[in-house]
Amino acid sequence: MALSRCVTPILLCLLLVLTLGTAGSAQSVRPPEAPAEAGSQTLEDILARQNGEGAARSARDLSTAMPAPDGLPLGTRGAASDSDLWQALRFGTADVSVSAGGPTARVIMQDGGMWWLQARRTIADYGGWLLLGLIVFLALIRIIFGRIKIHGGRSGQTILRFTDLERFGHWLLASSFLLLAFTGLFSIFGRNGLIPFLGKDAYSTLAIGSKWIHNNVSWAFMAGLVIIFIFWVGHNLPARGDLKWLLRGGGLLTGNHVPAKKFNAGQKLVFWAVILLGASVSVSGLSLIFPFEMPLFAKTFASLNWTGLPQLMGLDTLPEQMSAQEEMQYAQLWHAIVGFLMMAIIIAHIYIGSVGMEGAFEAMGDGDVDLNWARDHHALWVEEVMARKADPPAPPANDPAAPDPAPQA
Amino acid sequence: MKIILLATVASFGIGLLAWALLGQSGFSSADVLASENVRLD
Repeated sequence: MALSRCVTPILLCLLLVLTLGTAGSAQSVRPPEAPAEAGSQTLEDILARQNGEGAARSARDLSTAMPAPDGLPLGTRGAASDSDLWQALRFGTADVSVSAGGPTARVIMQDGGMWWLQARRTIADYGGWLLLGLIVFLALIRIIFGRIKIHGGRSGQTILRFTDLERFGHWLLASSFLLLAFTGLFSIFGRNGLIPFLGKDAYSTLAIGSKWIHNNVSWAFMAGLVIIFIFWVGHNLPARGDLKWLLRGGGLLTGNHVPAKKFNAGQKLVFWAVILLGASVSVSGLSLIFPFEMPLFAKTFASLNWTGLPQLMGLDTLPEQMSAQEEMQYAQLWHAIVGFLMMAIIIAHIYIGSVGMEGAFEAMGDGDVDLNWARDHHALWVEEVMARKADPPAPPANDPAAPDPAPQA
Repeated sequence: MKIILLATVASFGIGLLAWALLGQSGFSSADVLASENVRLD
């Protein structure tokens, strides 16, 4: 119940959460819904439980101010028992006033936290297996197919692929993402994955440090995201040849490369995945850094309901009213889901940019790539660069049949 | 390679700056939910 109740609606809000992420600070708080398994004692509830059906509590038997039945002795709180009070607190029907914290603090017990806790564990399980499975898959690819070589070998001549500013933006994003990824994993796998090995004291120190890094380095991630978007969005717009590139898998395994400009279709997919998922994880992260200040999901779900998309997919209407605590739970779950997706994409990106392909790391390492590597993967871009230089290009050392781009160095 | 190091340092630098600007401002779930400020009537 927990997984289907939360994950499916969350998956639906991928696009809208990006645009609606800056929802206003005002928030409406309503009591969390009573769960179906509560143990109310009306005849209908008892019969429903006997039939294996959940019996939802309703306000009728949760009141803390029930009138005293005739002829019964009253306790210190009239006819209300401690059980009544705690049930009312649990299901949010108690009349609570607080001296600080606003309406959010009126929720003393958050019964909806149980499904969130279970969903969090489920997401962690699936996410962990996703990452491990991907690493094993890439290792198998590497073993079976080997490293993607430069066609014709290295030319000995290089061409400037990325400027210093471009590489700074990339590495600002990359270094901050790695810090966020590891600290995020430390957080989500702490109780079940790390405490058994490290012990609670050592993990406490790690968790505190992880939280500090995760919260504060996130700003560097957002800055890097903006920088690379500005630098590269123009090069990542769809273009002719992208579909052909995708259909051929880029020719990465066959060696039959498809000519591409500065970024091929595969890189464009990575770019837009990083931009969209990065924006989404940033917005949900902001919602978590500033608790209860940026409720996102009620408005997003309302917009999705308006589109009719959930109904088209056979789902119930998504909840449009939720407590501030539920908003936070959805934000955390969504943050984790997007985080795992990004980690998977970036693991593949790191693989192809390092051990998976000869000559690829140099593009982001010192900025210059071998001319033959550039011709293999970005032949149209090489032609553009050479045309701009307006110099008669010289042939690479060991590829005399190729066109003649002028080497930079 | 210097740029990789520079960008990594910048990540922490921005983090420190954010901490200095925001981290001391009381934004924390623990603060918001501080149970000692809650009183039942």
